Order: sequence, then C-alpha cells, then structure tokens
Amino acid sequence: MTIGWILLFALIIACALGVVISRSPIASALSLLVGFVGVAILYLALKAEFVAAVQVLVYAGGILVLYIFGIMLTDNEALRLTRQVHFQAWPVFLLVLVLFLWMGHKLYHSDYAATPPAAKVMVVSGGDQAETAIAALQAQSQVAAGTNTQRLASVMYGNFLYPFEAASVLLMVAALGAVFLAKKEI
Amino acid sequence: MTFESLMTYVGWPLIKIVILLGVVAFCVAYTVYIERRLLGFFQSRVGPNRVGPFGLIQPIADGLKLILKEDIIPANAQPFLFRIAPIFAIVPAFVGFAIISFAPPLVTGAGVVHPFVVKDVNLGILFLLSITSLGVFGIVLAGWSSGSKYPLFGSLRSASQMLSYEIPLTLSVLSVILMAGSFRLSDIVDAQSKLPFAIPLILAFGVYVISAVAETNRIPFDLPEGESELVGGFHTEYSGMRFAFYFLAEYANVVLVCCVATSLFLGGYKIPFVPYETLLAAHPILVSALGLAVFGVKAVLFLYFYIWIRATFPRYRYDQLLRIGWMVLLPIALLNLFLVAGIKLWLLR
Repeated sequence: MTIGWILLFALIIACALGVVISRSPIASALSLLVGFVGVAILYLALKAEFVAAVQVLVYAGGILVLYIFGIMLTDNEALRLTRQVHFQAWPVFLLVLVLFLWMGHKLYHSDYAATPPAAKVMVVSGGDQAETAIAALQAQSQVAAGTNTQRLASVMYGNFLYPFEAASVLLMVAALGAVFLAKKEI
Repeated sequence: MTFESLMTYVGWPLIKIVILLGVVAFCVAYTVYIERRLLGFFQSRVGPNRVGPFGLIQPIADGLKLILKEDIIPANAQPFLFRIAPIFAIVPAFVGFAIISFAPPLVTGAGVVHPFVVKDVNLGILFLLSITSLGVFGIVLAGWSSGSKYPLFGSLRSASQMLSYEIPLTLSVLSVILMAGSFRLSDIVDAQSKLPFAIPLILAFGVYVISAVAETNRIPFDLPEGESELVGGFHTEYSGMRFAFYFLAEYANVVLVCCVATSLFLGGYKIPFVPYETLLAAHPILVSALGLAVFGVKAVLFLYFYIWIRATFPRYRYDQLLRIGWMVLLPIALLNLFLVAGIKLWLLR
C-alpha cells in the first residue's frame, strides 16, 4: 500500500508543479485536471467518497471547464510571449522550502495521533474520566452511524449549520457582485 | 493473496466489466441502426435496409468502414491534444454504466447473492453525475486542438450548453435522491416498488428528459453540431476511428440516459403492479430474468421516445436554448425540489 500512496502523492505533486511551470496554458489546465482527479482518488482512499465525488463534479467538471473556456477565448500567442517566471522566483522558492521544512519538522515531531483531542486530555488527566470520555466519544460516533455521506450531512446541517449558511450567503454575494461588475447595465 | 480473494476483487469485476462493455457496445451500435430505421419510418422513407435482412448488418458495415478510413490530423491541429480528446469523450460515457443495476440480484442458496451490477457503490448516482461531467472535456479539447474555426465555435457552444443544462439535470436527480433517501441506485429502485417516481415527480421527470436531450447534444438542442452553421461542430476535423469514438460516445450517452431514466423514474427492474416478494418465492432465477427483461423493455421504450423527440422537433436558436435552460428549466427544477422537500418533510413522515 505504501508504494500506492507514494505514487499517488508523486502524481498529485507533479501535476501541481505542471500547473505552475508549464508554458502552454492548456497544458496547465490539463495537469490541473489530472491533479483534481488525483486528489479525488486521495479522498476515496481516505473513505470520504462524497467529498471525492463533489471534487470531481464541481472542480474538474465545472470550474476547470470555465478555465479552459477562458483559455480558449484569450489570445494564446500573447500568452506565450509573456514571461511566465518572475525574477523573484528563486528567493521565493528558498523561502517556501524553509517554510515547508519547518512545517514538516513540526508535524514529524508533533504527537498527532488517532485519538481525538478530548479523549487525550482526559487520558492526561488520567483515570476513570478518560474511560468515560472515550465511551462518550464512541457513543457520539454511534449516533452518527450510517454511510459516510449521512455522517457528513448530519455534521454539516447539524453542528455547522450557521457557518454553512453564512458561506452560502457569502458565495451568493460574490456571484451577484461578479454579475454586477461584468454587466455594463442591468 | 489467495485465489478466492483475487477472484472477488479482480477476477469477477473484470469479467463483469468485459461482459458489460460488450453488451453496451452492441446496444450502442444497434441504437444507431434503430434510430436510422425509425427516423426513416417517421419521415415516410425506408431507411437502411440493404445490408443483411432488414439492414441488420448495417452497424457492422459502418464500423468496418470507419476502421478502414484514414486517420487525418490537420496541419493546424495540436497533435497530442487532438489525439487524446476522443478518449475524454468516450471513457466517461462507458464508465457510467458501471453503477446501473440491470436486474434484481440473483439469490442462490442461503445468503449467496449475485448482483447484476459491476459495483453498486454508495455514491451511486453522484458518481455517475461526476463522471459524466468530465465528458465535456472531450468536446472542448477537440474544438480547441483542431485549430480551425468551426470546431472552436461548436465546442464553445457545446461547453456552455452542457454546463447550463447540467444544473437543472442535477436538481431533478436531487429530488429523486430526496424521495429515495439514498444515492445508491439499487436503493432508489427499491424505493419505487409501489409507484415509479415518474408519477409523483412528474415535474422532475420532465426537466430530466429535456436537460438530458440537451446534455447529449441532440435535436432540438444539437446546436454544437448545427450543420447549417457549423459544418459538423466540434468534430468537423475528425475522421476514421477518432470520429467513430465521438459517434460512439454520443450514442453511449443516449443509451446511458435511457438506463438512468429507467432506474430513476420508471422503476428500474421492478415489474409494475407485481410485488417483488411473491415473485421471489416463486422462482429466484425467474425473478432476475424477468427483471432484466422488464428493464430492457422500459429502456427501449424510453429510447423510442427519445428518437421520437428527434424526429418531431426543429432545432432551436442558440439564445432560445440558453433561455430555456436558465429561465424555464432551472426555476421549475428548483420549485420541484422545494415541493419534494416539503412533501417529504410533512406528508411522508
């Protein structure tokens, strides 16, 4: 399985690099497509089928088509003559590398584990409390049993209903704003 | 890995996939034949009847012709994209069949069940929607990589049409999901034991049929390949087998739409007015065979209806097409979704 993971990550990273590096915009868009599908496979491997399907449906099948639309309607010769790599590329690359290494170091030495944080706090405080906390967590996950999609729905429309609605309103405002900016007269 | 687990995870799925691919390719070829024959009758002419009895060998002759033709890549085209674009069109059309249950599962012995589906995934219809939404790339890339005007305009029209009609289509499917309470196709079919969804969800069914016609780029919504304006649309520059791929993809999508409509709205393999349990008690193999036949009959009737639409309506103008999509179908689909949610919430408790 490890080889599979490494291949998948290599594919995703290669595609992400391809999006940024490649000179022709359509090649960027295509590697973005493969990258989206790769991320969808990653979600599937993590047993988040709903998110995987939405990833393909919304990003690959919707947004990316609009990107390609934009590329088709723009002057590709002009794009090809534009300098794609900025003169600040190397310093930025070094900065990103340092940040990446620092993040990797922190992640590697952190104690993220499979135990949920609440239970871990209880474990630290020790004793019977920990067991009751774990039991409570297990009971909670029992309540939200069912398929992955059903659990996601109960979390999204239960615990996080207001943030969800706020995000919808925000997107609505953005869409209306885009229409307003694009249309000369309404 | 033991032989048995190898068979469960690799062998049987592969066998199923090969059988399904063969059957689907056969059905697609004969869909073309049926369409040409029926169009002939609708238009008071004979249609293809020279090759074999009633012209039944016509699809094979057409296939041979397309294989033997030269594969031309235009000088202005971008060769790599031009070559791979048909793959983007044909793969989603065929992958979609993987989740369709064609017959009730065959029960042999205690607890041994053979489902008539490649993989009855939890995601079901959502998987299908997300896979088929990738089909638009085949068209867009073909138009862009051909390096010629007509394909470009054709593919632009096609992409905007497919994106616009995907929204009412998805909303109409969403109301079915709401009624059934599941994405899984076998659950959706089971939910229609008493009544096919086409009757309570008549609005959604109408929206689905119209947007499906638009999604498959057929008359009256075949603007992407409007011959009078765009020569042949996005596949103008294609010839030989690559053209055949687009042709196959279009008809595979038609067959897929028929199968999906049968599963979602017409009760799938359920036999109308006959409870499943009494049949199952009679004979398990009979149930599966009957179910398969019922599914086939429903799908073929729907296909007939689809061809009938093509023979009846003239082509819309482009602005009319988009206006119907956004200003008629979308509000109807949204209204229907609200109604279904309300009914589900207050009446079907």
